[in-house]
Amino acid sequence: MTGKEAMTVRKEKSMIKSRILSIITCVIAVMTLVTGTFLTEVSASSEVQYSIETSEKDYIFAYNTENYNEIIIDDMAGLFSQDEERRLIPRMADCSWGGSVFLVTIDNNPYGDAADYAEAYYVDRIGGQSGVIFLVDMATRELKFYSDGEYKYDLSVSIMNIIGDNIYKMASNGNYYDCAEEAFIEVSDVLAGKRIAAPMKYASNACLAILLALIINYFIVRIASSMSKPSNSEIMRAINVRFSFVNPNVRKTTTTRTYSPRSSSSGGSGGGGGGGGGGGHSGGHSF
Amino acid sequence: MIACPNCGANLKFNPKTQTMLCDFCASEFDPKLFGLDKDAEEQTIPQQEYGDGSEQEETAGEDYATDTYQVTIFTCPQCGGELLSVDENTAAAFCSFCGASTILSSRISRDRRPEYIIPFSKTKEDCKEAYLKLVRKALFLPKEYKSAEYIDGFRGIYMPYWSYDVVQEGKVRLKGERSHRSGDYIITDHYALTGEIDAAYDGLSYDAASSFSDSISEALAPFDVTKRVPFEPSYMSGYYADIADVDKKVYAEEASNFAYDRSLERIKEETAEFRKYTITEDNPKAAISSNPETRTAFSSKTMNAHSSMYPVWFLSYRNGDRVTYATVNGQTGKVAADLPVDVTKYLIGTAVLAVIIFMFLNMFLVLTPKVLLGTAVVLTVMEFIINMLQRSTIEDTVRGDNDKGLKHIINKKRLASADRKKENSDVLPNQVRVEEAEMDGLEKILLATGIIMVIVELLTLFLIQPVHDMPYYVMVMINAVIFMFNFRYTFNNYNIMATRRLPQFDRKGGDDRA
Repeated sequence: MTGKEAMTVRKEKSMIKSRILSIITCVIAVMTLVTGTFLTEVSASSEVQYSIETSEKDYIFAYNTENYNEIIIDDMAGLFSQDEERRLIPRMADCSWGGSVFLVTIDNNPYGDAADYAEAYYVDRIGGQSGVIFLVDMATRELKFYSDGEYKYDLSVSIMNIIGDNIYKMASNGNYYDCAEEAFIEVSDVLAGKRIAAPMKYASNACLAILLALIINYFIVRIASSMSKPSNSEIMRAINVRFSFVNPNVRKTTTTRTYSPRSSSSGGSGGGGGGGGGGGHSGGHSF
Repeated sequence: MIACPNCGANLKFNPKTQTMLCDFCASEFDPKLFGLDKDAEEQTIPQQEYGDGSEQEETAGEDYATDTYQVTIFTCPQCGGELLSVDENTAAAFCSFCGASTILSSRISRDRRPEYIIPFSKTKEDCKEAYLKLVRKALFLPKEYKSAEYIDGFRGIYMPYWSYDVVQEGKVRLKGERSHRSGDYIITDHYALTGEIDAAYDGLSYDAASSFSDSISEALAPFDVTKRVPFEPSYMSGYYADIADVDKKVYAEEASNFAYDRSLERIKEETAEFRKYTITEDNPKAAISSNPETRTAFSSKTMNAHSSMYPVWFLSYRNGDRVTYATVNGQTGKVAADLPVDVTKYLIGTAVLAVIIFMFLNMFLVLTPKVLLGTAVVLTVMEFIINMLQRSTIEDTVRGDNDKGLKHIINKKRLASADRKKENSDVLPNQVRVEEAEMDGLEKILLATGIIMVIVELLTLFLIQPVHDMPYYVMVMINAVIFMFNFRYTFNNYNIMATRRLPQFDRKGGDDRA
C-alpha cells in the first residue's frame, strides 16, 4: 500500500469515526429531550389536590387535601379580582406539599417594614410551622417573602431575593396577578429542586469576583514582599547587654481630684430568656 | 592580595572553615596571621568632623579608628558607585549598585580601617538556597529573578555599619500614679519612682552606607555582634566592601532611644515595687538630651560608635531605568529582596482566583443590587486609598524620608550644591520633584470621575434609593471600569515601590536620570 493510499484509508476511518460520534450524540440528545419531556409531563400531571372553603371570611381559604396545609389569599389591598384569586389558588397549592402558603396584600403597614409585617402575619397564623408567605406591601412598595420550618432551607434569603428580582418589574407595572403567579411558580420550582433564572446573580458575582481577585492578589503580593523588621528581643539577643536597676524607691508627691460623676444608668440585672428558635428568612424587592 | 605562604597564590577567606584557603595548593591559614597589612605603611587619616562638638561626640571621637589599609577601589563608569577589594589582581565585570554589566575601572588607594568585622559564615550556595526559598513564594515574580544565571550573580560585600555602645548610669527618676474613685471624683495619687540604673547596650548597629537602604538593612538585621572580631583585611579577601559615607551621628539618637525603651521596659517588668503604678514618663528625648535640666529619666553618659563591616550577599537586577536588589545576611542567611511583579503572571493569577471566588459566591451568595453597589464603592475607595498611600511611600523613598542615612546624604549634597551656586540653601528635600509619584492625565480624570461616582453612588444608596435595579447595575459597571483602569496605576505604583531609581553617586560618572 502506498503512502497516499494509507492516508486515504486513515481519512476514511476518521470520517467513519466522526459520523458514529455524531449519530451517538444525536441519539443522546433525542433521548434527553424525550426524557425531559416525559418528566415534565409527569410533573404537570401530578397536580396537587386542594379544596376551597366557602365560609364567609375576609380572605380566601383553601387547604391541601392530602396534608391539610393552609392556602390563604388575604387581599387587604384589593389588588386581585375574585377570578384572579381563584386562578392563583392552584399555583399556591403547588407550593403546599410541605407547608402552608400565604398571599397577603396590604395598603397600610403598622410596622413600617414589610419584613416585620410578613413575619408577624406568618407567626400569627401558623407560628413556627413550615410555610411561606408572599406579601405585597403597597404602603412601603415592597414585595416580601418570609419562610420558616422546612421551607426555610429551600427558600433561603438569597433565593427569595432572586425571585424578588425576577418579579418586581411586574409589580411596578401594576400587573399584580402576573407578579403573584410568577412568584408562586418560582417558589414551586425551587421547592421542587429546579433552578430558577438568576441572570443578574451571575453577572454581578462575576463582576465582584474580578474586583475582589485583583485586590486580594494585590494584598497577597504586598504580604509576600514585605520586609519584616526584627523584633526587639531578636535585636537584644544579638548585642551585648548589661542591665541592673537597684535601690527602687517610691515617694508620694501630690494628689489630684478630678470630678467625674457616675453614670446614671443602673447596672443591668437579669439575663435574657432562652434563645428560642432560629426564626425564618425573609427576602424580596421593592417595586 | 593576600599571598599564600606556601605557593604565593591568592588566599581567599572561606566562610565554611573560617580560614584563609589557597585555591591552588589547598593550604589553610588563620586569617589573623595576615592582620598586619605589611604591604602598606600605616597612615593616619585626619579625624572626620562630626556635628556639634557635644560631649558625646568628643568622647566618641577618641575611639574612632585612624588606621588605613590598602585597597583596590572599583568605580562604575555609569553610576559612580564604588566597591573596595583587597585583591588588586581581580576585576569586577558588573556593578552591584546599578546592575550595569561593564568593566569597572580600578585604582589602588587607601581606606579607613574599620574597627570590627563579622566574617562571612554563609557560603554563596547557602545564600542562593535562602534566596530561592524566598522567591519560590513570590508567585508573580518575573521569571528572570529565578533563573540560575541571574542568581549566580550574588556577590559577597561587606557593608559598613555604625555599631553604637549606649551606656546608662546614675539615678533614674520616673513619674508614677494610681487612681481610685471616691464618690463623683477620681482621686489620683502621684509618686516619684526612683532608683539607680547601670545599663549598657553594646553593638546597636545601623548601616553607614547611603547606597544600602534602611529598608533592606533593617530587614537583614540583626547581625550577631557578639561574633564580631577586630578588623583584618584578610577577611575581605575574595569579597568586596562598600564605602561608608554616613556620619556616625545620624543614627545616634535612634540607638539611644532604643536603649531607653528597652531599659524602661525592663524597669516596668522587673521592678516589683513599681508594678502597681502607671508609669507616665516615657519621653526618650529626655534621656539623650545633652542638657542636664531635661535629663529627668536616664542619663546616657557615654556612647561610642564603632565602624564595622557586616557580611551581605548582594545581587542587583537592572530593568530599564530601575534596579532591584536582593540581599542575604552573610552571617544568618536572612533574606531581604525587592520583589516586583510580572503583569502577565498577575493577570493569570487574578483570572484563576476570580474563577474560584465566582464559584464560591455562586454557591453561597446572592447580592442585592444595593449590596453589590455598596461593595463596589468600598472596593473603589479602598483602591484609591491604596494608590494614595503608595504615592506617599514613593515620595518618602525618593526624598529619603524613610532612610536616615540617605536623607543625610541628600541634605548634605543639596547644601553643598546651594553653596556652590550661591543659591538659597533653604531648599528642603521634600520640595524635590518626585516624578514617579506624579499622576498622569488619565489618572487625574479617573480620580475625579471616581470621586464623583462615589458621591453619586452614596446618594443613590442612602437618599434616592431607586426601585429599579438597572441604575445600580449601571453604576456598578461604571465603578468596575474605573476600578480596573485605576488598577493599572496601583500595579505600576507597586512595581515602582518594589524597584529603585538607578543610584547616582557623586564620585565619578553617574546616571543623569537618577
